Formats: sequence, C-alpha cells, structure tokens
Amino acid sequence: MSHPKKIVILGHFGVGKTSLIRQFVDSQFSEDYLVTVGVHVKKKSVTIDNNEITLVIWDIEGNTSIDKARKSYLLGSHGFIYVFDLTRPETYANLKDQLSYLNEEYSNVPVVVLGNKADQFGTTVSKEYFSTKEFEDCLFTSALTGENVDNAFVKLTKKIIE
Amino acid sequence: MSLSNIKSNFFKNKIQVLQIDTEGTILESDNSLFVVKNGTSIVDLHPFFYTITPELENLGDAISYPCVNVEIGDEEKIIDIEVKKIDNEIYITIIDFTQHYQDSHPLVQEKNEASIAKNKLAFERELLFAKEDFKNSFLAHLNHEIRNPLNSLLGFTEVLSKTNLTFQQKETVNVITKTGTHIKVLMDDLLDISNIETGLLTIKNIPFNLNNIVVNIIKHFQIKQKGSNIELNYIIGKKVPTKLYGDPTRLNQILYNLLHNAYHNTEEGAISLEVINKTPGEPTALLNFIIKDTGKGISSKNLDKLFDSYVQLEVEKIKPLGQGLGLKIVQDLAQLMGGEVSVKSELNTGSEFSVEIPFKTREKATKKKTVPKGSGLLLSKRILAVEDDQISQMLLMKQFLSDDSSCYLEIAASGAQTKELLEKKQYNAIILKRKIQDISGLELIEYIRNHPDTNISEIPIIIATGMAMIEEQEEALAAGASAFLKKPYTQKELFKLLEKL
Repeated sequence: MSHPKKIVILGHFGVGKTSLIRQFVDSQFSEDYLVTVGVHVKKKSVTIDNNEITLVIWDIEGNTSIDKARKSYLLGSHGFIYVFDLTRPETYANLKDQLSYLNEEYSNVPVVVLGNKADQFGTTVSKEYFSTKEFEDCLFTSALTGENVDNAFVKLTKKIIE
Repeated sequence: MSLSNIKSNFFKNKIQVLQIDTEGTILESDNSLFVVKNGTSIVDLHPFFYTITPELENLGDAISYPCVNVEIGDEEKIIDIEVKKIDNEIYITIIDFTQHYQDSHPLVQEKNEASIAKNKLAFERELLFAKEDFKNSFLAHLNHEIRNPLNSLLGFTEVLSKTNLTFQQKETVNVITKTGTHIKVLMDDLLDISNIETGLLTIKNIPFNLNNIVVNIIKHFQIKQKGSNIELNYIIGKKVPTKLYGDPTRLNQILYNLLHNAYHNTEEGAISLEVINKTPGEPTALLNFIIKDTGKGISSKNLDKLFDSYVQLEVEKIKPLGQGLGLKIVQDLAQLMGGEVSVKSELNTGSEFSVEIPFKTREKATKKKTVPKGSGLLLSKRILAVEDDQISQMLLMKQFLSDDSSCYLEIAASGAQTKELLEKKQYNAIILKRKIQDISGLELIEYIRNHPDTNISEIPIIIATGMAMIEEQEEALAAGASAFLKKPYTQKELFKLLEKL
C-alpha cells in the first residue's frame, strides 16, 4: 500500500466543503450549516485499478481567497479540491485568479474544481450559465444527493497517482 | 499550594509533549491529554499525523498547525500542534485550546451567515435589475419593430382614404385606421410605462392655465363623441385657481385617459369632470379631479386590479377588462406628480375616479414668449427624405403627392447619396431616419451640422423613427436634430411639422 495522499478542500465558507466530505466519507448529509473553524482531518480509502489508496482529507475553514489560508494546512498536499457554490456568484467570481494562484504556488499539485449544490439547478441557477470555458473542467456536485461526489475524489486521486 | 504549583498543574492539563523519531515512532510522551504507548506510531493517534510524518525528514526549526479538530477515543478536542526540532530531536507539543476555539465559534458562525445573507440579497437585487433591463430593452426593441410597419400601414391607409372610395370601402378603411391607431396608443402607453419605471420620465414645472386644459379636453371629447347618447359636463369649482405651475402635458394625459376610460365603459347617460380645490387660499392647491360616469361599473373584486397593467392585459383572457394600459399610466403619473388616484364603483350604476394632485399657484400671468405663427401654407419647399426602405419611400412619395402643399420631395437611399445631393442642391428640410444602411442617422446629423457651408449645416432636420424611447429622442435632439417625429405619424403631423421649421 502506498503512503496516504493528503487532499485539501479549498473554497469560500458555506460552499459545502464539509458536507461533501461527510457525504464521501460517511454517506451522510445535514441541511444545517455549521461553520468550520480550523481544520478537520478525515481518512478514507479508494481503490483505483486494484490499488488501494488512502486519502487523508483536510477540511479547512472557508476563505474568500486561498492566500488567506494557513500555510501549514496546505503544506505537503498531494491534491486540491476547489469548491464553489453554484448559487452564490461571489464564491466563483475570483475562480480564475484562485486557480492561477494554485498553479503558481503549487505547480505540481493537481486540482479538481467542483460546483456544488447542483441539486438547485433549475431553481435558482441554470446549468447553461456555467457552460463557458472557465467552468469546462468543473464537476457539478451535490452533497445533498451525492451526485458526482465519489467521482470528484476518484478523479483527483487518479490525477495524483498519474 | 504555591503559585508555581498552580501554574504547573494548569499547564499539565493543557499541554502534552511527545518525542518521536523521523519515522513517526513515539519515543516518549507525558500523556497529559492523550494516552499513547512508547514504540507505537504517531499516526495511530489520529489521521492528522499521517501528513506530518513525510515532513519530518526535512523539518526545519518548527511547523505550527493551529486549531486542529480531533476526536481521539471519546474525546473531542481542538488543539494547536507544534512540531519542533531541538538538538536534532523531534518533539511534538499539543496544546488544548478547546474552550477558546469553541467560544469563538458562534461569532464566526454569525459573521459567515450574515455575509452569505448579504451577498445573497445583493445577488437577488442584481438579478432583478438585469431582468428589468432586459424587459426594457426588449420593450424598446419590440416597440421599434412594430412602429415602422405600423407607420406604413397607417400612412397608406391615410393615402387610400383620400382616393375615390365607395361607402363600403370607406367603412373598411375607417376600421383599419381605428385598429392601427389603437395599436399606436398601446405602443405609446407601453413606452410611457417603461419610461416611468426606468425613471426616464420627468415631470415638468412650467406655468399653465388649467381652464385651457379642461376646456380643450372637453371640446375634444365632445367632437369625438358627437352623436353618442352620452352627455358630457364639466364644472371647475369657484375656488380653483387656474394659473398654475406644473406639467400640463401629463395632466392632460391623466384627464384624457380617465375620460377615455369613462366613454369606453358607458353606453348611455352622462359623464362629468369636476375640479375642486381641497386647500383654498394655500399657495399650493390640492386639486381634486373627479370623473364620474353612468356606465357598467366595476365589480369590487376587480377594483384592486384596475391599476395593474399586467392584470389588465392578462388576467381575464376570455373577457378582458378592456381598460388598456391607460389607468396604470394615470396612477403612475399622478404618483410622479405627488398625487394619488382612487376609485369607487358600483356594478351597473357607474364609476367615480378621483385624482388629487398638488399644484403651485401663481399670482401673475407669466409673459408668454411670442412665437410666429405658421401661415398655414407651405411655400414651395424642397424636402430631402433619407430613407432606404422601399415601402417607406413609396409612402413618403404618396403622402407628398396627395397633399395640397407645394412641397417637393427628393429621396436619398443612403448616406453617401445624401451627401452628394446636399452638395448639388439646396433643401429647406431633411427628413431622416435613425438607421440607414451605410451610416447612422446621428452620424449624418453630425456631418451636416459640421459642414462648412451654412446652407447645409443650418438645414432643419426632422428625425422620423420608430425608436421612440425618451433617451433616443434626447440623443437625436442633442446631436443636432431640429425635431423628432415618432412613428407612426399622420400626414397632417408631418406637414404641420414641416411648416413649423
């Protein structure tokens, strides 16, 4: 078994980072928003091409910008998941800058971008709105229904072990 | 107990120190917070430490991890972790800040929730504005698209009505004219509502005579409704000042819409307009205009919806209320003028609309500027129409040919042709549209107004267009147009304007 891979979940507060991890690790969801202070660390194993890989997932407190996150939290990361809330434009308004920052500061660390709360497509937000280039590699997830949650972690793990 | 003992006990319960090797194996621990066995791996304590061990080989002086939430055994703690290298030995210090971080949690929660709510509100507001902008631009576009063909329809109908027609043909032409005019009124109303909603419509404050407004509008309806079974009366109260400051055009529009509405709903009986001053002797007169009719009345369930344009157009699809958009405009205008509208009605008995608007009174008559009146005759004028649409060209030719005036019309189909004709001939006026194939109307105005030859630069220009939004009119006039003729226009309106210029 290879050494565990550290994945850090980034994004604004309230975008559903904790809910995504909870859905992925414990298959649970809660409607209540409970702010994350500091960091919670969870562990889950995934199997990719018959290889079991342990993921150590760092659920860090939300920040409007990655450079505001505590540096030690990001130290030694093998992959990043950047989450935004599809229903709140302020959470993806600076997406391009955030990804550029990661590319500059952590150039060899793969990133997966998630547009969360996809269950609200058609109510407060339209899928077509996110068809522009900026969002072309983005996965639409729902921590509520579980849509694409496992896919997101598998996608990142594959990128890490490539 | 000594102070140092108290202090020592306090730290003992809050701080745990462990020594580990570069592989993460625990060499020693004081077990103050968590009980661990020497020789076991630090990663067994919590998954957090999985990601620490790879850093140990290349550890500098220290790394700090504040505010780490851990569940170890049955205990949930929020700790600060510091990994330090001292004399080539690796030490981990765990400090329990659970109480401190838990206390700050509600504050962060509140701050984040407030921020999310604030941004959500701002987003919804933005969305609303975007929708409103889209609606207004759609409306302006639609208005323009309809006005141009409507102008041709009404123009040709007018030309046709002046030819030799049988009685039946005349009746048919009348119906077409009435229908076309009705569409025009609806287009104008929609524009007014849009202008009011976007704040483009402003209320003037100019001197005017109330008597003239009331008498003229009564005369208009008396002539228009001649032969109907409806008696039209008006009373202007004795204490009503007639010399006022305000917006006569908009007041006229309010009274016109209310009288039109009264006629629409009354088959026989009487319609009356009464004006009362509710604040006699005051410098600002609160005038109450009461329009009564003996018509079919409005049911109480429909009274509330009466001033809602959307309801008027949509609610009763099978049997519409039939009021058009006039009442919505009355309410909007009255509110813009600082007044209000109310209505009382009884089914099959009649309705009473009451509008209260404050007007400043004026003591002395304002000296009117003398404006030379038109002769009523157009003395051999050469007019250049810039028009690239063939149907509109044909309509203009027919309008000029069928008119008694001695105007001579020439048509230029492009900006280039216009410039060429202006160099060759002298014109008394130019009729110009907003968009021509090779140049915009505004650019052409700029070209003309900046021409070194004053015979060209001073030619009066009429902008005739279906783009009838207020800002478009203002833009054309600001660019140097002499007058704005909103499509659809009648032959009479066109020649009256040509005579004025």
